[in-house]
Amino acid sequence: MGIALDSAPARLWRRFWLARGAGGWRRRLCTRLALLGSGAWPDRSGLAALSPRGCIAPSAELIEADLRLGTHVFIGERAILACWKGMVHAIERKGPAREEGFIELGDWVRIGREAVLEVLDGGYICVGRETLIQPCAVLLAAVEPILIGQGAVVGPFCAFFPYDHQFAPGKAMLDQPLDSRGPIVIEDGARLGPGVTVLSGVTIGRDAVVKAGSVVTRNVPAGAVVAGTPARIEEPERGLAGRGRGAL
Amino acid sequence: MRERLIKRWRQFWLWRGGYDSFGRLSSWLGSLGAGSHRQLHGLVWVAPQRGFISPSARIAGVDLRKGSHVFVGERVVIAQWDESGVSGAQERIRPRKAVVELGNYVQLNRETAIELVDGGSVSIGVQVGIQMRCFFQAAACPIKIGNRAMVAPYCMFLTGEPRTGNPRLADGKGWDIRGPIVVEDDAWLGVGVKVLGGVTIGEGAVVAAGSVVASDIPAGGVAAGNPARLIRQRADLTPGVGESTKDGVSEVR
Repeated sequence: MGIALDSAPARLWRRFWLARGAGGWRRRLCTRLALLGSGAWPDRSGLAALSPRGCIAPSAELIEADLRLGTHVFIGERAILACWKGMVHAIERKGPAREEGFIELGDWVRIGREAVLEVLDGGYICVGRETLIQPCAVLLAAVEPILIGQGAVVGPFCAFFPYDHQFAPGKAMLDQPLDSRGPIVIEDGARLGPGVTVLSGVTIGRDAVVKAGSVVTRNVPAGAVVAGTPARIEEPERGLAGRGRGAL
Repeated sequence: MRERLIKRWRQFWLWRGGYDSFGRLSSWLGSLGAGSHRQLHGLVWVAPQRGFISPSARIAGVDLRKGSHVFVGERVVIAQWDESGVSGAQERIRPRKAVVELGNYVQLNRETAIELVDGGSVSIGVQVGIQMRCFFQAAACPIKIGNRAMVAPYCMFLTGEPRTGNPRLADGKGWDIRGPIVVEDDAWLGVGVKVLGGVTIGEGAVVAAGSVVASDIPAGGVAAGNPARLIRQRADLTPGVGESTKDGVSEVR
């Protein structure tokens, strides 16, 4: 057995195949060839650097996805990116009509294995450059969009739900229409720990930190540290040069 | 013409679908080209009595009783713990087959796991949607989900917990059992709710995202937090926006 896995010929091989996948089965085949002998997430995520086309794991499922990819995007194994139309029947639309039903990933975005980004009626997902979405996170944009800024970190098993079922009395839960308090906005450099749930209408400010397992129901000011169910502020302002993006 | 051929093909194979090895092969053939994830939901209409069980689902060692139009998604696991091998017992007693009941129109979405331990059982009522990656662990007691309940992703139902990683060290069964879990009709569990054993969630109750339910929630209650506390009653709410007036408080259960 000759070639070391990180040797120059191996890199050349990977670069060659990663630059080729156009889409669909061809992409999967080329990526499979490129990934021969490589590890798994997160070891693989560096491979996105080899080609501006990035690296989308062959086992990732892109289902009817209107994907707008930047360069060097990495999508991990068995991640699901899907755009559904006509799935939500009873939503109450607010505000003017807007473009919807797409997933936009900026340059150098990394999406972990088995993460789920789904867009249903009324929603879309935008992820800013260099943002990391860790494994098994679920982003389900129905009714309202999910907007994530640059350099943010979304922890493993996070869940973003920018919609709610109404639960007014006198009507079965299954027949309740969806509503929402607004889009979910994660501003630049915010960091979410593992298992954080973010509900509709929440803005998490610049460089804020959300601790593990919190459920964020209200806005988080920039630079704050929050924790708990529902999330409460632990440190109001640690200065933007703290543990946020500046320190990374 | 092509449409009809595809329909015939799907019908032929999905009528033979199941969860033994031949059934899985049939389901696989019948679902070729049908897509994945939510795209598969429609396949339950092809062979309504059989429903659709994804070929990547693993169902073993349980007595599965399912109604019509049942959907079992990708990589769902329904299985029974068999500790006879690890517990150092002299005779290897295969446990009785645990009963898993799925009512009509139940959807078990992808990567949900149902584990049964030592006499546990799970029964799920009609029209219940279990969203992806939920986890049921029924140890020695039943878990019962009522009709038309809604269960969001990452919910967990745990009737007990193992005392130690090594069952041989534990006295008795090696499990601390808290009791059965009952979720009554029409309840709504938000994302990531953990329900512990011995808890009854009442009819039409709403449990907010991320709550840990350790005590009973009355019918129509709205609960949140860790541990979950009752924050109000649905009946106290004014009818929501967009509700017609006839759906008012008068019809509250």
